Amino acid sequence: MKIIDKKSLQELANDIYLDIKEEEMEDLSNGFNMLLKHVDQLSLIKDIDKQEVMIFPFNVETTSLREDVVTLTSSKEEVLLNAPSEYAGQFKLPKVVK
Amino acid sequence: MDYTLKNIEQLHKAYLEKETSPLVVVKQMIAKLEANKDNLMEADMFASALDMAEKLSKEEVEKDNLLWGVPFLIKDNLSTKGTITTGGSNILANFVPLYDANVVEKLKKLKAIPLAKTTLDELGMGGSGTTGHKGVTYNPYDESHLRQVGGSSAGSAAGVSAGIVPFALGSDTGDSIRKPASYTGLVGLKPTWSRISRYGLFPFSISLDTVGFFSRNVKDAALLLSVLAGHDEKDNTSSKQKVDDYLNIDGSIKGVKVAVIRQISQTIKDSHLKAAFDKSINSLKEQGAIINFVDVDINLLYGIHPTYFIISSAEATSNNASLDGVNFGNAAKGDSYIDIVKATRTNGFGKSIKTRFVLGSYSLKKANQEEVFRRAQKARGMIVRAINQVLEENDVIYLPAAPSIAPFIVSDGKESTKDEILLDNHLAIANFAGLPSITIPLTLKDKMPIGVNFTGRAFEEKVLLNIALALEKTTGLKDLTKETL
Repeated sequence: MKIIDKKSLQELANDIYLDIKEEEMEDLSNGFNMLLKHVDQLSLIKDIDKQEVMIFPFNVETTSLREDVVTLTSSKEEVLLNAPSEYAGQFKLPKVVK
Repeated sequence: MDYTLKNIEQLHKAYLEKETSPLVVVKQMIAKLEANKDNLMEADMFASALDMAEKLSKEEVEKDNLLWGVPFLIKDNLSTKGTITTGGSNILANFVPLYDANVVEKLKKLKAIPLAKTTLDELGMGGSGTTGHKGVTYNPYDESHLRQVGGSSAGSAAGVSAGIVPFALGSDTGDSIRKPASYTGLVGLKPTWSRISRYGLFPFSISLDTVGFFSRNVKDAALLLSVLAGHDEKDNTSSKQKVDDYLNIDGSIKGVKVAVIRQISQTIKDSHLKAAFDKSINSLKEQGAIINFVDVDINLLYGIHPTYFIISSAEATSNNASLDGVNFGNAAKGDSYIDIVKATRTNGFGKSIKTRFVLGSYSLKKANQEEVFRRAQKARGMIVRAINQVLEENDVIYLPAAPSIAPFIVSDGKESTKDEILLDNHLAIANFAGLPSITIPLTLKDKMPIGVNFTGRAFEEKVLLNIALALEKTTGLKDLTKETL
């Protein structure tokens, strides 16, 4: 059975911009063990690796090929109402290039 | 007169006969919400509800519009223009949507009255009603507050079953409407995937998510589906298929073929539920239904929960990558872009969903993807083919919606057996295959409800509603609330 150490779990978290606190590590480690059990359970399904993947339940005809229609959904002012930090009508972030 | 326990049809009749007005009804419901101790509300919409009710009270009742003046609750992962919508997460604690979800907009156009936003497991991920940022939501049937209400649509289930409103909106990714409906004696409908627009729903797992609702009886559920179903140009995964006349049902089920999956029904341990389930099968037979006990490969069935967990966690990791505190949300401070995003996400998410995100990330990593995520997608295909095969020869699948009454909030720590996990999680089949699925109350044990579930073929909600109506007539468990019990 695979094992994973705390450092690897922290690296996984870091990949998706999360820090795992020490007190959260046990739950995460238990969760990982459960995930491995799930994988083992699926491997008991006969011929599973010969199958095609299913991504969506069924195909739905979409409207993606319609003609473009110009509409105003939300104004810039409205969108910026939820901005944590805003400057001169734009989202503001710390300098990236210093 | 107390109008809070009325169903939609009864409320409409009371308006038509000028027995009461929306303003009186809204005031009664607000008083009840304020007095409620089940921790079911995220945010109130009382000011706008009172304003709308006052205006409607001066207008003529719309005779053919049963939702005119009917108050309702909204799960807090559905966007409401101008009202904070948090998804039950601190990361969105200050987020105010710029638009209404399609389902909210449709109901408002019909002059139904949004009364409040309701609690949920954080971002819809969980089945207990205990992981939202406002803490545990309690089951109204259990005054000791020891038992779960179920989730993730916890507050919506609590609000309808506590006798506050006749219906509430929810969402269902694995069983998030149908399981709490079982624990609270309600009708809970998850429609066919793509039948109801998801515009304005916070995405959890887009290949599984559906918007649905709770009501107190089957006819009200049919009414709600008839107004909420249909194509929406703002959601290009919504279907253009014609919407049926769902209200045209009478509960005649002669010749309807009902499949019971033996490997699942045999796992029922609760003797009370078993007796009630067997009795209901006899009752369906007496009404002319044809019952077929069918077999499905047990390893496929044991694979339901693993498949659900892996696919939903992986999709959730990807779908929630936008929650970073840059464009919206409860942003943390930091000296760099990465500091801000990391601190926002670390402080904003609860422990339980952080675990899901990390495991989802593991499943999606190139080195693991084939063995974990792709394998779950292959299992999904196999399970769906097996279930669709059952539905080629049968009109519906009939099974218990839960192993028993609502479980305790604090678990006994015992590890569940594979059979127990199966009986507790099989409803996800309908999400894998995109099938419509409805839970209705079957029986009461120790004054707590237990529900049963019908799952049918895609876009055949009418068949489902019709057989649910037939069973509702038999059980007599209609318009159930904590107060009418």
